[in-house]
Amino acid sequence: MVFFELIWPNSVLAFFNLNYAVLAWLILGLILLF
Amino acid sequence: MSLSRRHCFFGVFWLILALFILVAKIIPSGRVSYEVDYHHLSRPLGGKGFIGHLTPAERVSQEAKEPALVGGDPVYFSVFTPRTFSEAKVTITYRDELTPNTPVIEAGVLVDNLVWRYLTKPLENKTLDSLKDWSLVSDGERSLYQKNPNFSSVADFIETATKNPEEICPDGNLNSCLALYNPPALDFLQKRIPGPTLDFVPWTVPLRGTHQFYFTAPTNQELFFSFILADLNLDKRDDPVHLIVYEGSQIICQSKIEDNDGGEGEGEVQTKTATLTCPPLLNQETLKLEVKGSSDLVIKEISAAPGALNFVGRVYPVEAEVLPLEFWTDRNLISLTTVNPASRQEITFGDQEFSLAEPYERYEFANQDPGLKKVTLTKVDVILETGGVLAPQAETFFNPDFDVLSRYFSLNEETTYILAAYQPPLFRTDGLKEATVTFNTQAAYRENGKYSFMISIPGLAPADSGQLVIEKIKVEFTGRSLLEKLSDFF
Repeated sequence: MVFFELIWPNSVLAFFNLNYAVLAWLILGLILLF
Repeated sequence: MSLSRRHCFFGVFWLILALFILVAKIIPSGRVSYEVDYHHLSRPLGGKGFIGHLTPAERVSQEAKEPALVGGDPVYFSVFTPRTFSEAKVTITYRDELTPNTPVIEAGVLVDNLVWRYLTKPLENKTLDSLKDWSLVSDGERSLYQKNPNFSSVADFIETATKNPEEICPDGNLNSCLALYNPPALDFLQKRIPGPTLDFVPWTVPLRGTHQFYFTAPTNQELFFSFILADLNLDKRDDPVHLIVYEGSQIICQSKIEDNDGGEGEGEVQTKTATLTCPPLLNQETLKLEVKGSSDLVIKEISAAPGALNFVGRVYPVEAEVLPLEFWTDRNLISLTTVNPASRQEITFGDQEFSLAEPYERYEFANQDPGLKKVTLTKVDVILETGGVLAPQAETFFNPDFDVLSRYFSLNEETTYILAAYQPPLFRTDGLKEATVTFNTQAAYRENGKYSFMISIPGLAPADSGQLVIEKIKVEFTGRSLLEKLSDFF
């Protein structure tokens, strides 16, 4: 369950009030940054 | 091989991110608080936050950065939590624009998803708050409202009620002068005054959905029930049926009838018989029978029971060979709904006539005459609710219950004490009210990481001009901390 949350972080989405599309763009941005 | 600085930075960054996600999931302190303030609500990134929207949309009008206007009963909201918690403290900040028709505001948490049952607790009860000239003693949790200040503490009252009930109500029957609201769990409230044992009359009018009945069982005799049940198979889910007998709130025997017949969602009616046998009682007692199932359940017939059955709260007859149907009640307010346009009809309640004019509308009819009144239905497929006992014959009417300060309650001369686990809301200087309730969420139903809550204003409908203006909802969760969880392993 905890592992699932790492790849599908519902609590982070709720915490930052994001939807999935915005989170996906953020992660993509971070990957590109490095 | 040596790692470059860039790789180190990269690794540390992702580690911190993973740690953050883990902490956000586990909440090591075991405490977390979520709130939604409708004045400052903005979700530019499209998220839903922790506290979901108030639903259904037709009962709530919600503009951006404006408080939510609730115009129907009930409304629901779900709260997403990353993990489970044992307790939820819900605080609602609201402006009260309700009419005197809706004196009660309650909040609830979903505990049983089979019959969609919410455990509710009071936010505000204006009937109680209006008893200004009554004397009030409270021990913080429980409050005793007395017409004459006879008791100096709640504990004193409870002791007398347990040992010498005739000192409280002259006839010794506590329910003749004591009314309850959100009653505290006390032994003396569990014992219902046994009614007269009356012979069982078979019930042959099909009833839809969950129903509850009071009956008085004779002593030293096995309690045997027999039913003919039907599953309409309209809904796609299985429809198990629970047969439960309660003494107060204690289950004394039960049985579950599984739905293994298939055919769900195909609309083909399946009929079966079911029986329940309970051990004999030592004393004559009034018990409650619950036949609990989904909206696909039809109780076609009750062919055996230990005593005459009286309905509790509501009755939903769906077919009848002989009309009109009659029910007897001691309540002054009844409520009726139908989803079938063919069931529009004139209803008599006592000596007054009322019209059930439109389907899908909830109608309430009041008759202030004291004593037992007859409700006559000329057509079936109608839900009749009273919040009290509904007897099929005047001779079998017996009310073992305490009066409850629901919206159906009207204060009479006999009521001299009210016992309630209730704290009035905080009246703020800016005209808003703030009410807090605490729920045990260990028993609550959680799906997809969400708890489901409800705000109920019984009787509030679009026809009623009142509304509840919700400014803010705050939910504080408490559970076991990481340390407490880890200490279990050592």
